[in-house]
Amino acid sequence: MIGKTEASGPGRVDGWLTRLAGYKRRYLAVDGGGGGRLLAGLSTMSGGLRRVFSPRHAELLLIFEPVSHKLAPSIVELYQAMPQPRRALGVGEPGPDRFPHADLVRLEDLLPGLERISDSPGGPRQIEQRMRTLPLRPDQVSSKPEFVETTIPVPGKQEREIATEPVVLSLGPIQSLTAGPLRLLLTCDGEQVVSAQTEAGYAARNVAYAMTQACGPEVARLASLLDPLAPIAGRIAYVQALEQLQRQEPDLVFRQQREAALALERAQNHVRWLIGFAELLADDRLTVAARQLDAPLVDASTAFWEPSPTEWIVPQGSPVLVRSGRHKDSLARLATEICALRSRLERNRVLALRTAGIGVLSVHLLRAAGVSGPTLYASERGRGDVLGRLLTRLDEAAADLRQVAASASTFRSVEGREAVWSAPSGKAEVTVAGPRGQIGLSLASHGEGPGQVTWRRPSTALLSLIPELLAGQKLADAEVIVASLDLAMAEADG
Amino acid sequence: MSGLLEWILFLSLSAVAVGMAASMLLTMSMYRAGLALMASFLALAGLFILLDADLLAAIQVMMNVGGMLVMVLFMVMMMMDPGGEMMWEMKRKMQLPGPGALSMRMPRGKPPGMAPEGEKATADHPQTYTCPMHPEVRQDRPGQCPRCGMDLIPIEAQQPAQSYMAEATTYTCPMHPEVRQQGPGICPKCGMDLRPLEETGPRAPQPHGDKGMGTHAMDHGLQGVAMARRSPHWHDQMMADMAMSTAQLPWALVLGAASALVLVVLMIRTGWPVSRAVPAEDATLAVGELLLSRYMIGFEGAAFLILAGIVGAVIFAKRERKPAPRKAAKPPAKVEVYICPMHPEVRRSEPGQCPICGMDLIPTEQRPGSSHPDHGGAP
Amino acid sequence: MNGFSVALLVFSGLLFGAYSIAVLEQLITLGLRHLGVALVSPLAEAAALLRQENLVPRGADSLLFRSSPFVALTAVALAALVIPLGPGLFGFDPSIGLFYFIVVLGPFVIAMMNAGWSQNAKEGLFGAFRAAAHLLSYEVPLGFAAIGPVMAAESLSTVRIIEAQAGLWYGVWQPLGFAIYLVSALFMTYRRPFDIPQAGSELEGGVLAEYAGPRLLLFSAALRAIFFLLSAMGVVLFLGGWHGPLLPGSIWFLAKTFALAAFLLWIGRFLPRLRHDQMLSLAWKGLLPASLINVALVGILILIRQGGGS
Repeated sequence: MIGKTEASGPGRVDGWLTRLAGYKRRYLAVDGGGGGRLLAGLSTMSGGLRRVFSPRHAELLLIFEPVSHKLAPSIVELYQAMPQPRRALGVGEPGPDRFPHADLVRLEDLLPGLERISDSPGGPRQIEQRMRTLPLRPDQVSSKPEFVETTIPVPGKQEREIATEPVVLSLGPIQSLTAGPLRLLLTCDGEQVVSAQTEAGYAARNVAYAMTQACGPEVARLASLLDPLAPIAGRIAYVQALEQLQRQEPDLVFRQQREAALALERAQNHVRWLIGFAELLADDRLTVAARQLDAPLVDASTAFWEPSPTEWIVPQGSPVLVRSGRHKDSLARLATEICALRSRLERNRVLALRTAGIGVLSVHLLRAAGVSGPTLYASERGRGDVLGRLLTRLDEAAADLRQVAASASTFRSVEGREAVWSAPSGKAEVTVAGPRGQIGLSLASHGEGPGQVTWRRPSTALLSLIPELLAGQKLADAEVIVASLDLAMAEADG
Repeated sequence: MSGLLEWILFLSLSAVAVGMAASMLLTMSMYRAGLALMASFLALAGLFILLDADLLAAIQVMMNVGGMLVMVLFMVMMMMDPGGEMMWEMKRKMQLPGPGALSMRMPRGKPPGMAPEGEKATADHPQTYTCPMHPEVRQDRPGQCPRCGMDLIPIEAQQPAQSYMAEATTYTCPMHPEVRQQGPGICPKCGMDLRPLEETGPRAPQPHGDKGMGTHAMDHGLQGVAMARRSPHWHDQMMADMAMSTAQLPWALVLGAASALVLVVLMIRTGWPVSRAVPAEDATLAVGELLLSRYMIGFEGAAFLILAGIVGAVIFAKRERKPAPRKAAKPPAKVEVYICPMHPEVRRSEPGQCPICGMDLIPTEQRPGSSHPDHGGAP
Repeated sequence: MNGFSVALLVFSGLLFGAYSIAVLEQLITLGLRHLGVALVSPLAEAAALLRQENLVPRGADSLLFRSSPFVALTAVALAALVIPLGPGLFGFDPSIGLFYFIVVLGPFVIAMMNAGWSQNAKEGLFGAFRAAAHLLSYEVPLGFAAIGPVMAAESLSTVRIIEAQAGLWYGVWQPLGFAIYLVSALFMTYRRPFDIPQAGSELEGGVLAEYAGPRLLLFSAALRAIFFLLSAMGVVLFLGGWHGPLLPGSIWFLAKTFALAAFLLWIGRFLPRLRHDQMLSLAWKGLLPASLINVALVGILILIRQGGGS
């Protein structure tokens, strides 16, 4: 954490200077777990906003809900470190409202003058608008939540001739390497990481427990919130679990459509990850290419279904009107562009300097840890280094898009029955292929609703690999490696 | 340039040169001392310019900026307290008068109450174990996390490494020893009132009470420091650092001033031959032409030799050995972990070399049937 | 030109240089269509920084923290004195102009290091060490690359180097030296792909992590000004300075400087940020031998020309 300030002079709020200054705003983004999609969307907006990474350089603090109690001190510290005049903007519904069973804080209690904006319609454009027009002002933070101190074991001091000491670098919990807060405690000997430790739990919302306390369609909504970046996967998992309990097998068409929705979501996730990864590597060409893939993909995916998947992914189906035919050509085209990008990247020697041979994960280590998804495929098919994971994700995205485009011609409207939300007693086990791997759901019901819910989340397995993976790496490489794992902390913390 | 301007420049540059040299001795920050030395030499370079010796001035700047930079870098790397903060804090606590280094004395003997390194679990500080992924899991003995199965790591019940001076008393919760803060309050986990932590050794000082300047105050200052580090080796290091302000320093200053005075007196009294010769307009040009025309072959030869040396070194350099080829076919039944015998925190799942010392990694057997490989937790 | 007008010229030149480089940066990233945005953005950011509070982190070495931006600007201003914008338009012309330029830019790196050190934060310290590694890497290749024009012009004076290029620009027959100079310039100004000590996402801003408000503005201006100066020096050494048909010399000089700066910014976009040990390898294992080869080549060419001509 950056030290506290001793400032001289409050910020001036002159007229013309303010108007001129508002032309370009610098913001610091805090992702409490739910903001990955919107952040990627914001980064594609050129012009009036610039993202910075040090609170001293920022005027606006952009916070994506939900914010846990554990994360709150860091947010207050960041806000206090920002120079006056400043403002905070919270995106999304207040955490305690959306997840009453979790240990979340209300941002309005933490930061003075917090402005809130909802996170759905209009998306990044609306957020950008608000950020550019929000008036800044000098203020004082009154509440100061206490940090919970962590102490980590530092390698014992050895009696050496040169008495240097290792430095313990705490990256995070707010950092740009993962989608969501994660604290990396790196013990470094200069630029070399000697040992690494992770501290998670900053995005915990206790979704599993909340699901047991709810009933009906609300449970499906909660399931989709397990990983805000992959809502469809969570929803499908719960719906399939219910259908298992109800001993109903949905029609083939429904299953195909669900698979298509999953595939689209996976592709979107991979492209979103690529934007963040390219920004970390500071490779402008790759960033621009990724952004050019992202916008049409999002548009095509949203317009692909009518109504949206949250409405028609329900147990035992309902009438579905599908408009898929119109967009399958654009999806096929995007798949070709992704393949072209992939072959360019494979030949790019300078990119290989930062990514090839770095962070190699062996297959049996991954299998032992229970990892699935693109990280595992990368190790199975090739090098298993950062470059391999990058290329594999692009391959997977292209394959998913092609699969959707191919199967889209078979979709048609089907008469379905009313959704049945009952959960007869029994046990159900479902596995869904999410963007980061297989998401597993174990549901035990006593007839009233889900009694016991257990999620097996792919990011958790990946997290457990980090200490071993980072030991002995260089610091800059360590950051790239963590980013290459595509961790979604909201999913990892549950 | 006019005479007056020249005098002003000369006096100010000289003042900077002497002043910076003095401040190098008087400051407690090693970084600042290095920079002060650099600034002093830059002022000398300015004096060279006044003497129309441009090339000498430029060379002076180049050499000293590079040289002092490297010196400062090494000081920052090796020394305990390169910023002088520790010393400054101590001086402030003891309220010693006078400019920095002159008022410090070498502490005599070892401060009492320094516990040997490695003392971890005592009755007052039970060793708690937690899961790195689920910090809410805590138990008294090592084992595995019930949520994810990872091995638990111990929480060190120690002050964070950066707090050199234990200013106020540290308060802790009787139920949660990992909760600490610098003033009274309530525990954020359970709401109980916090109690002061019993230090091992003499009691921690009151914040503003101590006015004494004897060993008592010195010990408290050092006591705070001693809480953070605990080995005799560290103690020696710290004493070496405090050598920035030794008892011999006033003698050094007196000797330096005396010699400077002698030199100045000699300069004024002795009849130095004053030459009216002005350096030729294009003296540097003439020298350059000479070098480039007659002695270019010498430069070429030197460049060629250096190039040959570098190329040879690069070509014949010992290449890093690739890690041993993985065993083919079936994966091992147990997950093997390879560690470095000197650095047990370095762990890999395949054989290779320790990135820190270069030794080959040796395998350690893991418990069969564990779903996760053992992680680098306790050192 | 008396001292005051020289100082005025230098400062206004630096301000203009910093602004124009900022505009160029925007244009390169956004594209030529957004000219209006590119022209206003730097002013907007400057205005925003001016109205922020001027804070000093607690525990910082406040003397060094406060003085670093000024040391950086002083180094840049002193270096700007020897760049001739046109025939007769220069601050002063010592006979060792080029050497003086290279040497005076050393304290700029010191200022960056001080900034990193004085923050009392680990990010700054890492950035400071990385910045120091830069200094040790670029200094020798830059010097050797600049030796080519010096040998050809038989003078270290910037004015004479330009005058000697009236026939043929040095960049034409010393392409290797030119390339090495450009890479060293990228090193020296902490530009992509060598911007690891102060880039935004590298450890929260590296050496500039704790700077806010007007001091940050000074540092940003100094960084851009030094980039402008190095492009200008590249034009002086390799692109013929103010020589050009029809238009007055200063216009040509500025146009060439902007072109070179734009080119450097543009190629930087194609490369991801290099890890700093990769940069050091590049400097010591790549640039240094190449610059020695360059010295040998240029020497041979000069001897041939002298032997053939005279």
